[in-house]
Amino acid sequence: MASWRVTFAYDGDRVRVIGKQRVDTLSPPDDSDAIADAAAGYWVEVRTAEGESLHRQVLANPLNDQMEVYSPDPTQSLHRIEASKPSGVFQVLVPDDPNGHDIVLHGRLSSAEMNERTSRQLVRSVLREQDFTSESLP
Amino acid sequence: MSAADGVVVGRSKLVDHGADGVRWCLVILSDGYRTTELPTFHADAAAFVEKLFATPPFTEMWCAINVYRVDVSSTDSGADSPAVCADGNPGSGTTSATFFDSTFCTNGTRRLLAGDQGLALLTAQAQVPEADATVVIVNTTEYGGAGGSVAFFSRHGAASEIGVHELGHSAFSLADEYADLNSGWSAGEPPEPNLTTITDRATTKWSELVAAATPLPTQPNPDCSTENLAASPVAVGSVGLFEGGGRSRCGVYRPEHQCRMRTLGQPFCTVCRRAIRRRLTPFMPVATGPRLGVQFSGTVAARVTQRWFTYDWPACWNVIWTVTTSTPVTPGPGLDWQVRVERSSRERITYWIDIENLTSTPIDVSARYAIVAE
Repeated sequence: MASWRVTFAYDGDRVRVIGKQRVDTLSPPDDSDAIADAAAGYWVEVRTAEGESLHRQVLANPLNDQMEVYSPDPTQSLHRIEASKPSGVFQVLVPDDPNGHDIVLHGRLSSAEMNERTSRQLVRSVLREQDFTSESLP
Repeated sequence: MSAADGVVVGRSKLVDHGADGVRWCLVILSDGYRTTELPTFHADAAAFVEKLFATPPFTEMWCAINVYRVDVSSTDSGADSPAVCADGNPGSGTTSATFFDSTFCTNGTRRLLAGDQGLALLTAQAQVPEADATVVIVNTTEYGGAGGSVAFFSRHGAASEIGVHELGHSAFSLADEYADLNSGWSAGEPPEPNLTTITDRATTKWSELVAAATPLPTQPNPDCSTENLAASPVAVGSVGLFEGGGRSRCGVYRPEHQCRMRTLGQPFCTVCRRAIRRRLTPFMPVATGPRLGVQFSGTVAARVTQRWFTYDWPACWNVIWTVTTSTPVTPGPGLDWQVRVERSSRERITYWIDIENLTSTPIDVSARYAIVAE
């Protein structure tokens, strides 16, 4: 039942892991089937030390490089505006699998890669408490 | 303008369906409520809980959910309201010292009411370590809100819709279904459950929900320079492929003509409801026990139907009722019984049990319960 709560921070085109904590709670179910056919978008992945995928979870635009604007008038459409300074944090809960070694964030960075058709690995970090080393992946 | 401008007073569990580690835990925080205004926040948080309960599929998945209210008092009431905003909509010019520093006119847009999301996450998890989602209600009646990893929204009557829509993103990974930006879809197949680029009937993402008679694509967009706002060509609620979504007007499809992820105030579409159910299903109560007992016993006169009731049963318990008699009467059946159910509140059930004595002599009866999931 244990999970890892992993906190990511982003600032412009820099994404890093700033927190990892074991939590005695369930994590969302595996989305691997949905991601199998996906080319774009964002997801996190838990991998073994050998790189085998154990768990994948879809994320909806976690980098918040656009801000959603709402209206109380139902005839007015929702829309988004570009964030002037995209920065913030987001978290995921993933299973504390005994074979889980790394967590990897897949996606596209806000500005330079907007027109890329496919997502790529953005950051990888070892699932170990007090280890905030994260590797930005080219 | 920060945590120095208030204090975390404490937490209350508004909805308790079991241990937090096995339920999906929502935390509702307050911002811009002074200590004397916290009763207002209590009412606002209760109203949001009622709204969520009334929103399918949360209604049917309610037993998967726990809700906490965390009272955070602020030095000042309300939120910052800059007098000048880049979108031309002026505010009052007031500055309020509040715990999460909520402010209108975020990013130059008057209605964008946002605060410190990182502090909100830390505050929620300090009070509820198992928190799965966090929202902040801001003490102002002006319409506003913002999304991200934490949703902020005001006390305005329509603003709680922002909270529900944003939970769709942050907790259930749903994509936006409107098309406000791009003429075409430049990316590949999206991973979100409510958008697809696949138009093949057999392999499109929600193929099993599309009726054979529904054309695919169901509503193409004939002009990719503008969002297609035409009426639906099929009945409301029909699942198909409607072109436009994920901020693109063409090349990507959403499942229904309307959905809360497209327009606030609309219900979640069938596909989004399915996605939310899928995420919440692991948190539903599982089989336990059973825990057995006799709720009542008594005597029913000959050829009479007598009614008992028992109230305040948790609505999330799965309870099986049986009625039996200890009076030997043969040959033939001695009694018949029926259980009727009254949902007396969001969280409680009253069972009404009618017992009919089919014989010509009085019989002793007892009503037994077996709680098989809680």
